[in-house]
Amino acid sequence: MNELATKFNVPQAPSRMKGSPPDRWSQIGWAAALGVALLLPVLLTTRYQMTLASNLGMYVLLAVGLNFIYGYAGQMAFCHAAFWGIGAYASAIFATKFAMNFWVGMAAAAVVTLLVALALGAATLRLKFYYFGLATMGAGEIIHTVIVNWENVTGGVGGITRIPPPTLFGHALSGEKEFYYFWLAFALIGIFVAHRIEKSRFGRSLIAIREGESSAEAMGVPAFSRKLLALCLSAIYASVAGSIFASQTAFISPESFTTHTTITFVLMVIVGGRGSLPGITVGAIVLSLLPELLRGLKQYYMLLYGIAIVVLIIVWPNGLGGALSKLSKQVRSIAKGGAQP
Amino acid sequence: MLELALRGLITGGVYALLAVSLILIWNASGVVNFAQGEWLMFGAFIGAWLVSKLHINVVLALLLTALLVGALGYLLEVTTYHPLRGQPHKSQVIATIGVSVALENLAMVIWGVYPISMPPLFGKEPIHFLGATLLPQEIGISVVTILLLGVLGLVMTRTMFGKQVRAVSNDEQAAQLLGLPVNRILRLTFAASGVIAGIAGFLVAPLYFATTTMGASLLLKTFAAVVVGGFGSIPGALVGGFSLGLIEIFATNYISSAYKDAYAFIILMAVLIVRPGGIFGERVGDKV
Repeated sequence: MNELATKFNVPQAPSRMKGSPPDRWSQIGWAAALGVALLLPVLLTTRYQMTLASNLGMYVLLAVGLNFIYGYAGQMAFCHAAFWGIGAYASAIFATKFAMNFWVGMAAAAVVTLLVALALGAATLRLKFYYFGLATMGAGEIIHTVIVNWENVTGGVGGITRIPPPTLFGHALSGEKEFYYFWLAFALIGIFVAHRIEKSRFGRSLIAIREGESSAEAMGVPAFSRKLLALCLSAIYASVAGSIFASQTAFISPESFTTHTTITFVLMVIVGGRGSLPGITVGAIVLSLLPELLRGLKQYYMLLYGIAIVVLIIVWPNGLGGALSKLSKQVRSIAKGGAQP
Repeated sequence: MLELALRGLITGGVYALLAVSLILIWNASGVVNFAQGEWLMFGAFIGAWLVSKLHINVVLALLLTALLVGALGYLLEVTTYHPLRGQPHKSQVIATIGVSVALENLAMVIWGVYPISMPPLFGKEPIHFLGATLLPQEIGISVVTILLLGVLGLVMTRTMFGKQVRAVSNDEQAAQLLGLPVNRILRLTFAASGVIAGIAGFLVAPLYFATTTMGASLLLKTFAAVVVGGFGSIPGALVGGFSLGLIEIFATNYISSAYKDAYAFIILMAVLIVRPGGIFGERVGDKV
């Protein structure tokens, strides 16, 4: 059967047997990445580098979260920074005004963000493509305006100050190194959960919706409720990232949570390759470091950042993830000894 | 009341111009161009710079601005849209976001971080008209807006170029089969769109300061105007632009000025939820 399939080039269902080649390659990749990530604080020499690294996990978490609605389900959601902001503001308010424990506040903030996402999704997810994109962009702008103007709750443009740090078994986190590992833990859980969802029936139904909503519905996928669930997952990831962000920086203000920020997150997913977890992880890390790497070019750096994005999209239309899987296919075929034509 | 209405129409005229230029590209290529706002911003900066720093005659400055921003439009097609033809629209749209980031920062490199202002055009003496008080430049802006929209309407309906643009928008492959130079028409459409956005920027410059971030915020509101009017329809873009200007001015005056920037988006969401086709929308089937 297998021989026949290879002979006639029939695509086969992925083998679930342990240690089949594709699994092994990606396992080696993830293990290597995890090793580097765990050792990174030892390898970094200056405090500046450590400060940069301490936030990487946040961007990975945000990009992996956005990937649910944008990457798997293929819906252009342009309000990720607003979800991030709601999570940050809600937990900051719970912590400063109600002296709530960090973890309880984080969960409560996630519930608030989830409710907003449910309402927004229920109203807009029947719209397609640009229309959903524009509606969510409008929602993001409205949320931002509310944060700026609802002064007695959000502190207006001044923001909220003196947000307490997260506590872990009675120990209050402090310093870049501790936050680095804290973010790393969350990013790993986030990637693992996303990976399990990607391989699940629900994840496959999202990808089916992305590839063709009408055909997915014809196959019995309830597209609307699946998309709603994907949007909620994105919102929860963003909210958790927001809660930790608020308590790490101890200060938040509305200017962090604009459409401009959303676009940065969207670019991470696009440059990483929609739907590819390894690509998006790399994309989030590269794009959050790129402005810092180019900073030596002074006022030209953001100009080059914009140009770099255009060039990346032209060169790798499927993102880093597409380029990675192409590369790993070549490596695999060389490893097998088959000459690549 | 009348003064508010006139102010609303003047603001709305800017939205209308930007909306029309956005729809030109959308119709021809299927791309929502996120760099459109930055073209307007370049129009404002080039205009303010030519008039206040180089002291060039206003009419000449307007023409030069239109030409330079038109060149930006042409360049976008050549450098970004053309290499991505055949790719999904999502990639093309994201690429224009990259261009908009680049242009915003190019403006910062050229003109610095401080806003530039344009001196009031045609003097400062206010004109009284039916109980409303307007500055001469505000009247000038409305005249130019109306003239430009009229010329655009004539070009689109009465000239060969307009017919070709409409043919390419309608069905690119059929237009190609009929021997139309599709590439050239696309390039010229992008350039024409740049010209309109550049003129809109020139007109905005005396009203607000020219800042590097003005493009993004105006473009977001223009999206609202385009959706209200019905995506893809040029008359719709006009109606949407003008009505958005009116609503914004009246709501700011009578409801609350703190939420000035939110009205456009509340309307945007309301229209999308209630009537996604907008006022003049045609292809509702694509949207719902």
